[in-house]
Order: sequence, then structure tokens, then C-alpha cells
Amino acid sequence: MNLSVKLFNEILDNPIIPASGTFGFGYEFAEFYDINVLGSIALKGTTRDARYGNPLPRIAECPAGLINAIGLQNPGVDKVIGEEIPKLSKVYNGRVIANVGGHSVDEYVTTVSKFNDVDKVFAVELNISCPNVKGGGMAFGTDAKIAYDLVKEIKKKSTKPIIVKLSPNVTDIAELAKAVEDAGADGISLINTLVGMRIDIKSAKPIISVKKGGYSGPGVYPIAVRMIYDVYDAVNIPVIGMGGAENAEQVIELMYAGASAVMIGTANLIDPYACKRIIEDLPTVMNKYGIDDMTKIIGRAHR
Amino acid sequence: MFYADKFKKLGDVTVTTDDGSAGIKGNALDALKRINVEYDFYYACGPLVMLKALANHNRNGEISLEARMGCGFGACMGCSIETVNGARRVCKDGPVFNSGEVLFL
Repeated sequence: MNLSVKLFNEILDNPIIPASGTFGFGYEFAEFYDINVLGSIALKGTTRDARYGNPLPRIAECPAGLINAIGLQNPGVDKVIGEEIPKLSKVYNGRVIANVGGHSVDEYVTTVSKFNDVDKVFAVELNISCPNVKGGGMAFGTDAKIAYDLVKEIKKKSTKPIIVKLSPNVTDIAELAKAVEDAGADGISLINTLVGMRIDIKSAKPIISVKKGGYSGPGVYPIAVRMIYDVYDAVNIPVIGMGGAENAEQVIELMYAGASAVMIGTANLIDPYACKRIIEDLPTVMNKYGIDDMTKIIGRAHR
Repeated sequence: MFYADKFKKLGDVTVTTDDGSAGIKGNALDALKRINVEYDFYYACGPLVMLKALANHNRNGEISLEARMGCGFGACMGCSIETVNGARRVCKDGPVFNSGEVLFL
């Protein structure tokens, strides 16, 4: 039985990767279990300069998930490379995916390039789909031309494979996927959160300080399946699937839709052991459905 | 009024209520100013605006913060507050902070 998958030139022991923003810089979870079981880790979104993020409240509960509006809180790329990644290296032997956000092409290029010499990082995921940062973030991910230009500039300076994380808040996700593939993206990850909102019943005011945020969790799962399916059809580069998956069966379904690996997000917040449990469950579920090699099921629903 | 009798076994208790239905009308800070009690250090919990007013009145105490949390164990940054020492998570680094440490945004 083979659980391993390949992303670019990196062999992952299994396709399970905690999604950016739900796993910090990884080491917090080493208090719960040996995180070396993970296929890889997508680090917390990183920007050129340190950011506190949005005022509180940043979280609102919803049926089948939650809304978050963290606003890319992070200590800045220099501290991420100088302090956070070394801390993670003490408890995690594998290589990881950095995640980069920004407000301008220059800022993205500068931040992504800083990871060129970081061996611990095997790929950089571009967050061009964050709904929670004013004047940037999602704007890069909802306009195909802007997304193309951004990826093109980053590819000139980056030596790492570039994964572009797409927003589901678009009319035609395939158009965006093709645009970033044309610009030289090495892979695509999706879906980021859907823009959502809650209003407090007593005060009649938005719960989230910046009013709207990104909705994620089990409720977005069928949307993720559909969008991964559409993007797999549209491009020839690897697709990393995510969106509300909570168990091994759903991981397999996302891979049937076209995912080469699967990121687990909100499930980590509900149960810190979620990734470990899914990895442990995979062999049994593979057995049940007659799967002997995870790489063979990628895109099976298209055949 | 929860546990007023239990607290009374431990020492002097001053009750305040917003509507004046029991004890002093007002909040804990109003009461603190009125009863002229002597103290070296305080421990407080309650709404953020009250804790802010308390911290501005006297920084020599500790406050227990509440926040909407995504995970509750330090991963999601959903409950981060600004402090003089940078961002701190209410769930993992708190919930109790020194009054003088918290920057009330």
C-alpha cells in the first residue's frame, strides 16, 4: 500500500498537509502529537513586515464552520525565517510550504525571494485570495490579468516552486487557474475561504470587527469538490485541494476530484489531532475502497 | 447574585449592579472609587471596557480577558491582543495579563 505522493520534486509520506493559518508555525501542535507524521506543513501567512492584523473580534461561529478575519497577523518574513522556522525545525524533520501574502507586487516579490535560500521550504504558496486584508490580498486573486502579472514577476525572482492559492469568490475559477498557469505557476491550491458575515442578534451589529470575513469548515466542502474538479480540468499543473475536509473519506474524494495532496484547515481548530487521525485512518479507508496507491486516484472522477 | 454568600466567607464583599437592583448602582470601578478601600493589588474580570477603565485608573493589578477564539490553543491567532510586548494570544499567553501590559485598541 502506498500513501506517499509527489509534489514537484518533494516526496511526501502521505498527502495530508495542515493548511496555512490553521496550524501557526507548526510547533504549537508538537505539544499534542509527533508532527513528523504529517505529509508536510503550510506555514502561517507571512508578509514582508510584521502585522498585528485586525482588531477583535476576529472569529464568528456559523452553522457548519466559522468566519475568521485575522488579517494576516505574523511577525514578518525575517523573523519567520530567523525564529519561527528554526523553532519548527526542532520538532519537524520534513520540509514545509511557506505562505506569502502582500499588498503590492514589490512586496510579494521581496517576501517570496527571501525564501530562496531557506532549505526547509520546498515550495512557496502565494496567498492571492485573503479576503481579510484591505487594499490587497483577494484583489490579486479575483482578476485574471492582475494574478497573471503578479505570478509572472514572482517567477522571475523565485527559485522555489510557486503554488498559487485561489479564491473561490470568483465567477469562473478555471479562468484564474489558467491565467496563473500561463504565468508560470508550478501548482495551484484551492479553495481559500468564502466571504461571509454574521450579525449579532442583540446588538444588530456585525460580529466581526471588520464586518466580513472568510467562511470555512464543513459547509464549504461540496464547493471545494466542485472547484477542484473544475480546476483539474482546466490546467496541467498539480492541484492541492482543501475546503472543509475532516476525514479520510473526504480526502479521497478531493483526490478523486483532482487533488494531488490535501490540506486540512478548520478541522485542526475543532480537533488539534485531526491531521493525525486522518493519516491513521487512511490505510483502513483505502483498503475498504480497494485503493492501493494514493497517486493512482488523483483525478479518478474525470476518467 | 451568584456566590455572594461564599465570597462573604472569604472577606469583605461589595456588590454592584448596573441597574442598582442590589448593592451599589454602577460598575466595579464606580464602587472602588466610592468605598475608598485600601489595596495593594487587584484581580479583575469582566467586560473589556470596564477592564480598560480599571487599567487606566490603576495599573497595579491583573485582568482576565475574554475573546472569541477559533482554536483555543494558540494556532489560529483569532484572539490576539496588542500588548507592550507585542501581540499575545488570550488563549495561550493569557487569559490573565498585567493591567499595564495590555494596549486596549
